[in-house]
Amino acid sequence: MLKNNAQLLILLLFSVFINGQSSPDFNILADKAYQKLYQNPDDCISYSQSLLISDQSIEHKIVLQNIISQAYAMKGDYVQSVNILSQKENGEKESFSYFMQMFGDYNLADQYQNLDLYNQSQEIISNLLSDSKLFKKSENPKIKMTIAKLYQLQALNFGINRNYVSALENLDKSDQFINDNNEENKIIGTENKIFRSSYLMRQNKLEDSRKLLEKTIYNINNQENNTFLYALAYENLSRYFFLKEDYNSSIQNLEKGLLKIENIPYNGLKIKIYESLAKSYLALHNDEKYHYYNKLYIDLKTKLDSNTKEGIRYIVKLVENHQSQNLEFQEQNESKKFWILTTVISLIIISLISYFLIATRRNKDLKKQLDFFEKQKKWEQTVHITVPKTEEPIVIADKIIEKDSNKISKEKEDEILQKLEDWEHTDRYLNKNMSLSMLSAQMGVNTKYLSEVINTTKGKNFNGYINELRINHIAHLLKTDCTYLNYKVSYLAEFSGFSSHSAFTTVFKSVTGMSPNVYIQEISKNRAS
Amino acid sequence: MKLVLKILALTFLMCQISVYGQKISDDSLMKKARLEIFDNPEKAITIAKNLLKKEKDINKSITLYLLLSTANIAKRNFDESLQYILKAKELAQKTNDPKMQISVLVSVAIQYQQMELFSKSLETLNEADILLEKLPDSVPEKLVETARSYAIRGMIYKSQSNSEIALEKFLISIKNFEKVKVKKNSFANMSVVYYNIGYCYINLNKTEKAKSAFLESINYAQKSNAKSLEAFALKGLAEMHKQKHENEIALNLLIKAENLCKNTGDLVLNEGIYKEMSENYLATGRPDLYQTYNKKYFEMRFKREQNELTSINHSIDNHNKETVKKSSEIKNHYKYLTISVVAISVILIALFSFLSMKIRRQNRNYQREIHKLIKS
Repeated sequence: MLKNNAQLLILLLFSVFINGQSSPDFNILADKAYQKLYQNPDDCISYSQSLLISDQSIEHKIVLQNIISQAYAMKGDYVQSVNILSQKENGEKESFSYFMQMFGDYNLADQYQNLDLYNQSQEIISNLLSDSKLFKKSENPKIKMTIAKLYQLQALNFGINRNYVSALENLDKSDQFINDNNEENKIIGTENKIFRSSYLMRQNKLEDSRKLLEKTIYNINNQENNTFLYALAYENLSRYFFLKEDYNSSIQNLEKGLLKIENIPYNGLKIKIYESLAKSYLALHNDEKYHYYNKLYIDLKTKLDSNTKEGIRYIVKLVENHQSQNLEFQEQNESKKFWILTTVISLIIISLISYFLIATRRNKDLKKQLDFFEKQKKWEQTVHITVPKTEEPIVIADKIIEKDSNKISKEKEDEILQKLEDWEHTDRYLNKNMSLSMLSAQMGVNTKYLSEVINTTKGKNFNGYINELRINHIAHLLKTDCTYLNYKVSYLAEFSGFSSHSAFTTVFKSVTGMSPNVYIQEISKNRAS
Repeated sequence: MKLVLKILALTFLMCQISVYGQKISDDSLMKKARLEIFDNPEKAITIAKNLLKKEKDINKSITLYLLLSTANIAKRNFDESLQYILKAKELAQKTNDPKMQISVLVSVAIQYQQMELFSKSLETLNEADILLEKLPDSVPEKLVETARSYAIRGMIYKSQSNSEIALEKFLISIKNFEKVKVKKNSFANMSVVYYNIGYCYINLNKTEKAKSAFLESINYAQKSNAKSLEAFALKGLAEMHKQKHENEIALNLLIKAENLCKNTGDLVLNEGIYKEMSENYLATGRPDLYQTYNKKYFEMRFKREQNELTSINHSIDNHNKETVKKSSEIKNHYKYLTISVVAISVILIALFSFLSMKIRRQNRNYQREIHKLIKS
């Protein structure tokens, strides 16, 4: 159980570590893919697809899928855009990272916006942005970038609902999370500027808007070919002239933008340009051009509308997919928390149990020690009391009654006991060679009888009996005579008639409940105090 | 323009349903289901499914199947919708009533057209045509259904930007409508068809013919007392004038149309009118009015688009709710697990702490006594 938990913990920690890092190579490749998104969506799709095939990390795949999906959305192919994201990875299960979950939410919000489901998009984003966890992790450049994108997306949502004040606020916040580190950052920054100018225009701050746009266009021209941003900026500038009723300049700007993206399928942008061109020509009463662009506008609009409708049919599937993934993530998180808690608690319990077991063992030892000391005390007392008594003449009944060969007569037993007691008061048991036969010979008692009496009256065999006597003796000596305290244990063993040091230690421990060393320590401690 | 087409097709569909509706007007549940179709398709579907279980009358069952199909279109669950259509078709074939079969086939064709499955729709109309030919000329339904069938064909061709063929079909449709003796019910339909004819002529740059078609459309709309249809026709007429640069006339017509549709709340119609007005103001060089109406146009368009998304929003919301439920279930599951683990461990910890304390105390006592013994 403990081992399992520990393994799990290590595995989890390890997986977090794996997810925490992202190879710098991939970041460069992804940045390039993102740049291509604004140059030519078809190029971007094929480039990202090739990266997608070779990459194994699910986190990388999610990022690439998002880029491909955005490219399809820019082309106005919303069905593909949704489908790319609903592709479920059926490789081996990798644990989700926080970034993956957050990025998944961002993807969904992006799709909702493409398909005109602004409220859903707004809801997801405000949920995400209200999560303080997101900002805690904002040192991670990928998360920082995504926060910038989320604010931009939210700005667009507000813009569509004509809440331009909030939209501009969100753009400001988006700018705060942008630096100049890579192309992606620069692109989002430029995009923010264009959106800002467009909202300023809607707020009737025409001149501010124009100044900002001209500056942005100047910057775009200095950068590498950002086709999309170039066209988008000119499309916005044309609106300024349109509002100023300078339709010719408006057309000029629009055509500049259109020329750049003529052969590139930025249909979402093209439709806006066609519409504005048609309107400007209508205002100029240029029938031929008006009908031409109006037809282009209507055709493209029909196409995009049906794409949107089709895309919406698939979004439900995407939502299902996404939410089941989120649930999985949650489950993973909860079980992680649960196992950590369980591990900690079981560690506590295990240590408590071990403490308890140790204490119980100590308790047994102490009990034994106490018993021993009590016995020793009694023994000492008996020694003091009984020693003089030994001189009392002992009446030995010589009658041998052997009715039963197995049973020893009461008298005989008492006689043997008396003899044993006498023997106990001598030091003869310290003799190394003392054995049952030797004792019986000394006492003049049948070996069998002696053994029987020892077994029944002392509750142990001869060896246990004599060992206890020896230990009691040496323990008493140790306690009463401090010179013995300075002797080595091996000497003590020898002295008390044991053949080896280890046998002495074992027997000593079993009789007193502590090793000779501990006993010696205990005695000296008490002596000192 | 495609939207206009859609809505008109839908009106057709509604007319169709209301024909059946008269037979079962006492069935209030059915009415309720029909009202809920676009706002809450899930509810409409559950009601219809429940009704279907009890229903024995084959005609009513067909109506219910068509209703289920429409509700599923609103949910954008096209697969399910198709299944119900096919069931309705199967049932209709069992009735042996060619009139019934034809009208179901036409409804099915409309459904297909809604789903933009044009070839399927045309196929179904051809099936209906075969049955129609078998009907004797004396049956009034023959003319009405033929007219309806051709009108749908016209709409399909028109949405494919095939104005010439569409025009041909519409003209056949009109001819058939005109032959109907009791015209009252078909005035609205005729107005719609003339309106479409007008647009076909505009696309073909035949403004004069377009004008007369729109005038006919206005005429029939007035006869059937349908204000929104009249407004549609007026809008068409205005578009024709706009093409001829008669912006002032166009604007007058549009203002008339705007007044007519004030209370209808028809977003598509309003959207179209505002768009035309804004463009006419732009062409006449009145940017202030252009701005106002352009804004109104965008507002209407946004409203209409969001309206169309109501049902999808509903199903997403349902999904979200379900996820929240599932997520709280997971949370609860782990909460209870945690609580039980914590409770068990608290008991264990308390037990072992108590036992350990007890033994410790005992040990201390022993130690004390041992000390005493040693010292003594």
